[in-house]
Amino acid sequence: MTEASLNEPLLRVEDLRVEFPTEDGVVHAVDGISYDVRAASTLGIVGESGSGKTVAALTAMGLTRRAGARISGRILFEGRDLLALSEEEMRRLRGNEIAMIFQDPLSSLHPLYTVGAQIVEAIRAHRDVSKAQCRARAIELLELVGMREPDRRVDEYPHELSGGMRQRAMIAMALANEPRLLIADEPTTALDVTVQAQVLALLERLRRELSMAIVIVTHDLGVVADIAADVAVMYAGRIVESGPAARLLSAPEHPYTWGLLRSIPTLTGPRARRLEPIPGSPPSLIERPSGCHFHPRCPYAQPDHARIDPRLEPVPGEPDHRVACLLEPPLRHDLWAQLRAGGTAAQALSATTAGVPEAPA
Amino acid sequence: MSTHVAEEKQDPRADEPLVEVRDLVKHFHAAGGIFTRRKRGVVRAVDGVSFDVLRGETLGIVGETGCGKSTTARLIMRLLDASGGEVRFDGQDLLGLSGARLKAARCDLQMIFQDPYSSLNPRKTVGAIVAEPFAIHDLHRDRAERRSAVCELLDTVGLSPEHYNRYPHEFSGGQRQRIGVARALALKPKLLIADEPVSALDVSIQAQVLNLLSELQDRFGLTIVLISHDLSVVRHMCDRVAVMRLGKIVELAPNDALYSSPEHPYTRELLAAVPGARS
Repeated sequence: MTEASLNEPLLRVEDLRVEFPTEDGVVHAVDGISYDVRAASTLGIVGESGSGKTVAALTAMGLTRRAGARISGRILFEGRDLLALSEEEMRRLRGNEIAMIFQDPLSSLHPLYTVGAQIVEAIRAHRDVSKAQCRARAIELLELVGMREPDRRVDEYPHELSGGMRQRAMIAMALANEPRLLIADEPTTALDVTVQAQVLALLERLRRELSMAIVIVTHDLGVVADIAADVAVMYAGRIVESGPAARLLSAPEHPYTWGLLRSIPTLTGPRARRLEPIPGSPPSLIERPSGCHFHPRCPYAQPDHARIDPRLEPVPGEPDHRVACLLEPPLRHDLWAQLRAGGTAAQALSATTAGVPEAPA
Repeated sequence: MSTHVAEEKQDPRADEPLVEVRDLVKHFHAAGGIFTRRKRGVVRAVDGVSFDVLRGETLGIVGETGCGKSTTARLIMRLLDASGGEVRFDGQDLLGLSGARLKAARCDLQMIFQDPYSSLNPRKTVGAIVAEPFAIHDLHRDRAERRSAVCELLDTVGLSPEHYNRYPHEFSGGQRQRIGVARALALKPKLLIADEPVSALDVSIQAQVLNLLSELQDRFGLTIVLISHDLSVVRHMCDRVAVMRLGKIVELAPNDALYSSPEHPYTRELLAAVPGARS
């Protein structure tokens, strides 16, 4: 891996918009998002259900099949715009240079074919190799993803495998053609914690060994902390904050990111009697709030935030860390300092607007 | 609002545990199907489990898929029949009850479920769903009285009386879980069993429902058994924690002790596997 190829993004998404006209109105699933994925690096896209994170990933795979979907923007994979490719060209790319794994392995694997047959099919769709060679490769892949007795597993059907083993089989299938980019949509959500830890470790090892970039879509900030180098936080179809994972998780800038981090109980630190939830619920993507989409749930929103639409802009002094928030950067800084010291949103707000930052009681 | 507060009376059993589970066993006989190569066998879902649930505490049961934690809950609820063992609830032998006496005992035991979408009847209004326990147990027969009792329950869980005539599909996941909690509280139970109450909810909504459970416990002196695969949620909510594996409890300890110095290797393995635990 040379320096030059590290600096050039493998995938560049520019102002991507995806809209679905429905009977109830237009669903603005993805609303002008831009992000880069560097070669052999991991990007985590974090959001709740209905934030547009899955549509953002499926569109990059050319899998936004719904009739009438309106897509605009550019998705540049190694410089080629995927949105301009024909269905035939896209088919050659998919499963070959870009592969995908899904949350639910049981519904992504064919129940009537053996695991091996499905891996063989994935290889032969893109390469002219003999079945015997493919079978050897399938066994090799199952071994690569950490399956014991791969030469026996290769002839088993999906229902004979446990959840974790099925997820490994699906990863083996996705890796069959050594893709440059793996898109993983909630790959561990359906798994038990110990199995989840194994699958995440497996993805990280494969990323290093195969120099493969990963886009991992998840609702779990813990998963992001474990394997992502960069993070994009999505809310109501937009990226509201993005940056290096270590920075974004330790010094988050957006009130929504604060809310996510603070509403989750943790394994360490003092136990609070009450958690501090984000009030309200995520908005409909048909009728989104005016101005900053988060303002109805934001404890720090000011009256003009219902009018002005924030842009994703660099945080002062941190060119890689971007945030779409109308609060002044020094105020954001003071608010987060109060929250991190254990204050509630109300305490942080009164301390900072009084102009005298003081430790919460 | 005060009608739901349990009356402060001298309970002669106040010092005894609310629930005593002894050597509880549930075996399922697995039939070999046409797609299965495995032979018939016995699944020991719950394989000799003993624990107490103390009055007013929150007991957590954690474990991975198939460890028997939900089956244990269903056995205590009498939704399943035990293969063996004993469950004493408030001094009486729960597994020996049947008919009218079981129905009466069930008023004191209520459950909320993981999936707020499938646990509410889509064709009934919220009012009818929350009033159902009253109908089953023949309480609040007067229409106006029943309606006001339901509205009070809705208020208790943070919903409003205007929601009375709406249907479940009009609500978000978090609100549906509140409807389920209101229904569970209708009969003023002593014990609430919550089986994965927040795992189907969005991250930003989970905290709202967990806080609601804590508030209700403070207000009504509820005893809660919280079943979860999420070690962080259990740490936040519970006084004591039981770790289950393969149908057995491998460790049961007070919260602080379990998380700061886990004794069993499996507990340590579980704690180390939580994403973000290393950062």
